[in-house]
Amino acid sequence: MTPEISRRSALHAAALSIAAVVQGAETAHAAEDGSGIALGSALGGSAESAAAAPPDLAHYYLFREIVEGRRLVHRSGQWRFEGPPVPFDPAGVHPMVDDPNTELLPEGSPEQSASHRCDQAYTDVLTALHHVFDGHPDDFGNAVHLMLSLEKASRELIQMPYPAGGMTVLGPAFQLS
Amino acid sequence: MPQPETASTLGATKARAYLSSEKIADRCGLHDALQSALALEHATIPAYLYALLSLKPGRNVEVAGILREVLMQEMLHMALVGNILNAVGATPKIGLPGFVPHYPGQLPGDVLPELTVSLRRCSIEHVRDVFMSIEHPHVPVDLAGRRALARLESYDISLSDRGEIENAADEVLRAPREFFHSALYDEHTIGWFYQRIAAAVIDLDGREELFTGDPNRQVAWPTAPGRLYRVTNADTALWAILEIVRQGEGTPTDPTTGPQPAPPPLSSEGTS
Repeated sequence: MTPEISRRSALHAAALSIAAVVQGAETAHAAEDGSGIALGSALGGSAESAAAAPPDLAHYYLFREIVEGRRLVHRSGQWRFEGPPVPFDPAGVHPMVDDPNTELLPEGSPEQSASHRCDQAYTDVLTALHHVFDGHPDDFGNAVHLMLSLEKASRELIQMPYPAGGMTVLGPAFQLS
Repeated sequence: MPQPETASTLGATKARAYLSSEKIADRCGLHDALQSALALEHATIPAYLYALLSLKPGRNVEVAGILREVLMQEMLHMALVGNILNAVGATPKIGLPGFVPHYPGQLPGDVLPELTVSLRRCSIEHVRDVFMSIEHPHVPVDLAGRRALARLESYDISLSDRGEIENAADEVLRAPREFFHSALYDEHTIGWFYQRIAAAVIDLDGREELFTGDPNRQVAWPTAPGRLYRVTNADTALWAILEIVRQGEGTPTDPTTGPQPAPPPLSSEGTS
């Protein structure tokens, strides 16, 4: 274990601890219903994600670890993809559609309503961030809360099969409302 | 919502103008280039988040950890650009029409124009073909620039909870200036885009009072996955730009700092 790795771990631990500062209820809720794997635990923290402890690599190498299926480690003076496995199981992926578009969903359907709600949650996050950077830096915590609302709205869509009778489910369209 | 009438400053057309022009000539040009940077940093977030959300709870946890790490750092990059914009007296505009890309579509700023970014569930193919292409490293092409970047990486800067640099001597504070002044990047890469912004900060700061923003508008994020600098002058602005470049691109001495394991050649690099 190099000092560099421990610095990375410290950074990662710091990233996870924002939950304790900024949120309480939402994080607890996310953990309860098992939905907190995305923003919930990124901003909220969990033992599971702490164990994953990704190193402080440039983004390209982090993504390449997924493709190679191995962590990048420094051995004998060289960086190699010979570290611990980074397993990927396609069965552990929701069959979300490609490029969902709220406007193309059946007018007035529950699916379109849910997609509109999710678009609104996304728009609310951006609006809140605009407010934070427009002279209200102390409201940053509110924007984080709204990110968790976005995750919740997204997970409702992921529960909705679409198109009817097909094998796929919806996902967030990330369109401004 | 913020007023939509200034949306064109964020749109791809305007951004392309600033990416391809020779030099950022004045304060207004710097503001527009930074707004483009803000849109560019944001544009990847929906794509990464879509893939992350597709992972079932408790499954693919290593992959989820990686996606989450990158996602958080993209948020940090948005915040860094936001602090720089406020420091130079502009208001960061987030969430205007044109700020959010259409998916599938191109990145803002004419960055990697051959690459189509789409919202897809996580797969090895999608990570390899799209995510790795977006983040393909573009380190400075000249040896002096690479060495300067590696030296910068070796400084162990620490920040207060407010984002102020706590432990740096004057020469360290000023160190990014020398790097950005001399580094050569391939054109139309993200590193080149930020190098031009940094060069404009140095140039304009020497000619006028550039950092006129209210310091009370600076956003702090003590637990950020990296350093969110409090930007109040050219030195802190350059350290902020360096943080974006080093997390996204790496620097030359190792993958935390650069591409030692030779990356596969990519046709979508957009270099000339």
